[in-house]
Amino acid sequence: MDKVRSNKKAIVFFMAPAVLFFMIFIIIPIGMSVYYSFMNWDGITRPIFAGLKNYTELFSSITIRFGKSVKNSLLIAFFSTVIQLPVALVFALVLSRVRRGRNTFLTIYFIPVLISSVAIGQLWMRIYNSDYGVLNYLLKTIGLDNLCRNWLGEQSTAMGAVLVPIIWQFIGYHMLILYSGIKAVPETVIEAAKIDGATGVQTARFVIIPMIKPIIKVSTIFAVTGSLKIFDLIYVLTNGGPAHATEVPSTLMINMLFSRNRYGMGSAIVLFIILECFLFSFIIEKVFKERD
Amino acid sequence: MDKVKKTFLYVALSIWAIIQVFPLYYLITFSLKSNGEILGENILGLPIKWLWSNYRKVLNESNLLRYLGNSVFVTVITILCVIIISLMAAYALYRMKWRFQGFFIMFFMLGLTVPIHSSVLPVFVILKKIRLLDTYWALILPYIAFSLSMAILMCSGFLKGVPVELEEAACMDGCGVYKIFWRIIVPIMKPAFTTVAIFTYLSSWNELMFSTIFINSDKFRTLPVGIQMLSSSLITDWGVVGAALVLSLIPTMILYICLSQKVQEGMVMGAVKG
Amino acid sequence: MKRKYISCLLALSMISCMTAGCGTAKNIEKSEQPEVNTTAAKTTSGEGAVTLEMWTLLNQTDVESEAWKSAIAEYEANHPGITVNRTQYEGEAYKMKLKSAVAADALPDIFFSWTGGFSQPFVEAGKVYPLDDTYTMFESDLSSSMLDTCRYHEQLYGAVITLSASLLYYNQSMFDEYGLKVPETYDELITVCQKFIDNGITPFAISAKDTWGLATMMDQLMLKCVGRDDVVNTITRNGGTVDERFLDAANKFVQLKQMGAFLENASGINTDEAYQYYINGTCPMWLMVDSLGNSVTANLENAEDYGVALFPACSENATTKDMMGGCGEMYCVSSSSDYSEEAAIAVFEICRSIAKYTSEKGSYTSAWNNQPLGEGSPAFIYDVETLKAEADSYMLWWDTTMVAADAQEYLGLLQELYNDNISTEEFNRALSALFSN
Repeated sequence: MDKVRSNKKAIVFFMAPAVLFFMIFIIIPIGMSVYYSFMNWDGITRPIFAGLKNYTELFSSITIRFGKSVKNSLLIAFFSTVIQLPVALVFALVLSRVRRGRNTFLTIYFIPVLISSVAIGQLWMRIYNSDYGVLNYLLKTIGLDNLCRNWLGEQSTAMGAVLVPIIWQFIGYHMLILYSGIKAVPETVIEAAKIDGATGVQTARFVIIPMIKPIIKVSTIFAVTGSLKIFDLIYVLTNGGPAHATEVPSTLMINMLFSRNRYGMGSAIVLFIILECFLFSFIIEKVFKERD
Repeated sequence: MDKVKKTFLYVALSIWAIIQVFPLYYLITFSLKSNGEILGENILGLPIKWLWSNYRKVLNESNLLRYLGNSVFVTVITILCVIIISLMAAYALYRMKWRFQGFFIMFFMLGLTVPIHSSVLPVFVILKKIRLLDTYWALILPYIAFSLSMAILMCSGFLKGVPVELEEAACMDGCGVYKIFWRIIVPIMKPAFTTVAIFTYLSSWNELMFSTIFINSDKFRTLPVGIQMLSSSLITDWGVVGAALVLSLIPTMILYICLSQKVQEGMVMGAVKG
Repeated sequence: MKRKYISCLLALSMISCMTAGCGTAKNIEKSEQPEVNTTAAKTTSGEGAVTLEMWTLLNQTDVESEAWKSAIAEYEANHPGITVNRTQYEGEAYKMKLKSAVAADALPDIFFSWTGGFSQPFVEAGKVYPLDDTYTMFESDLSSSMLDTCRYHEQLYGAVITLSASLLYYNQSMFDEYGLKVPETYDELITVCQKFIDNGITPFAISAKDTWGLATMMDQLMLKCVGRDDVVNTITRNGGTVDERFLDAANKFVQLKQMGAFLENASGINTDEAYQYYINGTCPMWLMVDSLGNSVTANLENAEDYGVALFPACSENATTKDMMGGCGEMYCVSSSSDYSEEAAIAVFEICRSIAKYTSEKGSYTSAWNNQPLGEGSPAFIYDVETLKAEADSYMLWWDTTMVAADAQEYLGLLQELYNDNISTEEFNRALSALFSN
């Protein structure tokens, strides 16, 4: 059997396609990005070596406001973890207790995940429209006229306004994942807790949650890295505006690459995002390991 | 006491379900309304006049169906390729024995942290060099590459559940490694296919950036780009834009409703094993 | 389960092939739709058939669509064996597309581009085909001064259709209602605005979401406060300093904003949504480039209620006749095209035809000679023509004149200023730093 397992030709045959795709479309592009990030390149003429200039400018320019975009992406990551996950967890726990309609509810909650960000963006733009949108209309009907705003157009509300569809879309995803984890907890353990006199809430806190830790970890990693990389929805809703209020590293990168012809700078941002995701995945893994 | 609690829970769940679904209800209703109704007279209710003409307009005057067809084609091919390639790689990585296994496992996990958009320009240059720009392959090839990491991870999880004895038995019957793979492993990994298909679908079907930049002709344009263009140009005709958006959602919804059980199982298993 | 799965996939593939096939039937031109692929006479493909690929922006109006159709048909009739395959793109996405194409040498034979600093890197990298030789064939039809902005390092790189100018479109009946006349100086402008504001009316329909909407306003103020030559020299880094005149313009901009002269929700609406307020009589004034302004106003039922005027003078450094405008859009030929000669000729011929057609329909005034406005054009279009003809000087918008990186910096700064994130002094200082780099 071992001989079969070490069949070199077979190994190459099985690995080759995946490795090839990976090299051509992921590894080489990353390499190119690293290379360009140290260059001044407008995409057309020859690149000129610039050392760390792109990086220093990135962190110091007041018009680029890179710090703000990083802050925004961290904000999204934060709220995704702090709002999305607990809410998803609570609902997953509740769903595991009710019997009827469970599947219907899960199906409904998952629907937004499948919808394209373009559709969601366009839809929420109509909801947020300051003249005709549903949100302001609802506020007016309950008499809260003075709360009506230009949600996507004002610096103070834009980021919050953008957060809502993001969370709305993916909460079902996390709900499903956590629910599955909860279902996997053996009935016997729950019964035992009940016999010991634990209430529902106590069972949840002390029995179920510790047992689904790996699932929570997976959910957290997805939520955080997804937030750091986010692009589509923000691009459609505000494209980073107004005045960088909703800018995130990904939208900034596209702006650098295609509006400003600064491929070197754009590549520097790419590198930053990759390292950031790496770092956070690592941290989350560590955090969960410790709590085990 | 329990009854009260149960009713309360159901109410909470229903309220949340309404919150999740309300935007869609709004979308569907305004896709059937006239501008007048949407913008003032009848914002929240069911349409007074059911304007099916909005849908007719979208279908007749734009290439939405074509974009839909293109998206389907690209996504289906991507899914098929990803399933096969990732399964092969996962098998070699997790079931066979060779020196650089560990390295390559890390190698593929790197892909999980890379945002797809970061490769835009390099991939563009590469596609141009191999003359595949403005074809279906300009999208299919990168999508495959970017779905591989997740897919291999999924497959590895499922592979762990396949008993070694099966392979050993086949080996004793004189099967070579290829036969073992095709006759034993592949059939048993069927549940993995659903999971991989779902995750691949999620990242390819709605992808916006590559499809905008790599595809020039209307012929090959995919759905997200088409919807974005349509929505930008029809900024004042909300009803028609709504109709376009609803039409773009229909295939996904139909698939989901038919396969919802499978989808949920697949997602579940994916997360557990991943 | 496997069988069901496979049949599902097969069904999907079949559906996709069918709808993909369905799509080709729908590729026949329809006059209103935005993404028409004009493959006019593809059936004549045989030996030696040449196809020219052309990229342009989306048609905004029916007149434009018709103009393009007939221009291409005319060209193909005059040059049998050559077909023109045109694809249209939406503005911002087009910039992305164009730049990727330039970077990877994937330009089509003919493409639309903006003049000034925008195309400068393309030219300097040798990606654009010089048109001087071809131009000699069209010299009598198109005067050389029109092509000034298409020249780089003394060579010509693009053909133009129209000369555009930024003009003040206004609702005459609203002015009459409050006994106001069109302002000719900045102080008069403030008075007019204040009168409207006191009566609950927002004077200007403007978009801040499309930063170029704000730039339309700011560029005018800058021009009128500083003077044409000094502005151009400063922003192209050809000498010239950012001094108190620039600060004056920035202060005027902020003054207008703070008094409430701009739409309150400007940051949330784009240009198309903004001009709805102008059309439906909510806002009496609209500062816009005439190619859009004309077609929008001409299509209104109450077009006679509207008039067009020059932007008021703000200082002695410029008069109302110093205009923001020029040939800001051009059509170029790629240097890597296999048929650069044919493409060059095509570019001029097609531009000439479109200019003639749109001029006859009274849509916008042509840059070409002997192409007068058609009979029956709305009255104010003749006014537009007169205004443009009597202009003393032209300069293009800042974000077209400057190189792309500078342009984006400027637009970014403008947004910061509009959103009160920076003061006018900081704005001025940042501009100064930008241009002395």
